[in-house]
Amino acid sequence: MKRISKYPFLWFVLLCGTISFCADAQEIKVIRFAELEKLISESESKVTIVNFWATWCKPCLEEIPSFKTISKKYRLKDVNLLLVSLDFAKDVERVKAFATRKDISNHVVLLNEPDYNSWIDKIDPKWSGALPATVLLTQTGKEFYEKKFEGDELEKRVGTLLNN
Amino acid sequence: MNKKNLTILGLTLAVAMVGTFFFKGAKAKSIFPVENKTIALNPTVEDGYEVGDEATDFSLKNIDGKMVSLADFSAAKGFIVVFTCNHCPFSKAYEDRIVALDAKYSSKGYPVIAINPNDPAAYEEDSFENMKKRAAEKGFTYPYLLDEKGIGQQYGAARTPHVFVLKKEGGKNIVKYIGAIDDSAQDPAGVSKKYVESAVDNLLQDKPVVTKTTKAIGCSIRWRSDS
Repeated sequence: MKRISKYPFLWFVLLCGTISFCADAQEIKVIRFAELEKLISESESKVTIVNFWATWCKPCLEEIPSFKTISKKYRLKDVNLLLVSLDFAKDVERVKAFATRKDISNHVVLLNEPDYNSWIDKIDPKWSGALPATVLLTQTGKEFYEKKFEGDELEKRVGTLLNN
Repeated sequence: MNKKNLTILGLTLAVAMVGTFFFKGAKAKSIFPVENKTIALNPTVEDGYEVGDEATDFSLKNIDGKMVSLADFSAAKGFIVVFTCNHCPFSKAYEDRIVALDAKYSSKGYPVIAINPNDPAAYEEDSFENMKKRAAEKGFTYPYLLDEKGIGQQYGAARTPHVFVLKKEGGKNIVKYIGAIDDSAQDPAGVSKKYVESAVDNLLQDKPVVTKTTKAIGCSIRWRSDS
């Protein structure tokens, strides 16, 4: 401890590192649709999973563990997981608490774009707007699912897409 | 921990931080490539009604225990059929606006008919008893029907709330509008487009509906296994 006190810079780095780590684990970004488009288009992973969910959506919460399992299994270069919450913006604290508890904060953003009709078709014209809904994006294609994934269905599908 | 290790740790953290804050992918690709497979879509969406289709009548149990059909409303010019429920936050956000729609349009010939399509086994809050309770609390002025016959599936309701505006034409109920109530679920003060009101206003003046379909985020419907 005596030694480290001689290096104020190191203290600074450690402190900043701790703060940025904690901030990553807890804060939920509230974004507009343009920012979501940017997040998706800048993803360089082989498979980008974009899941639309909300804390009030029971089937959504039931499938979240399977998303987490997949993101833990692969490196970012292979799989990028984006969990897009459609909770109302005023409920961001509830989203934050849930995400922290489930250890998924670094994948979660809250999309605050209340004129739903203006952007649902941009995700997929077949989407009714019901949750959950998921897009699997590869470098060459896109699959859209308006449903809850059961068992290891999603894991198998992602595995297949990675091997293509 | 010796000085060297500490320095390495410090540098690693510094690099990681810089990376986190400043690294952005250099290559940008278009948001969604052309190839598009839609798989295992909610079947009701494709099987349901489109604007212009004839909507079926039904006989469903109201919260007062009586059966209600569209045919019971002989003086109506049409209907604002709303698939909604108790548990869904979007349904809750719209309760007062649905009451207001009925207050404004029932006397003009377009009463609200609310239908709960959810399986109460999936959502206790959507049980018949709780429907009665909620209707009393919020002062629903319109029928609030329990869908035990898969009418929601027949219409193509995909979420709650999901509105179907019908107009009586030659003894048939023709679908004129399908979609959201307005463009701001979470904040009634933020509404700029009142989709259902515009549709009904046009129908009352014998004009075509301008915005015939809209989409909105909503709660997926848990259909009863027996319907």
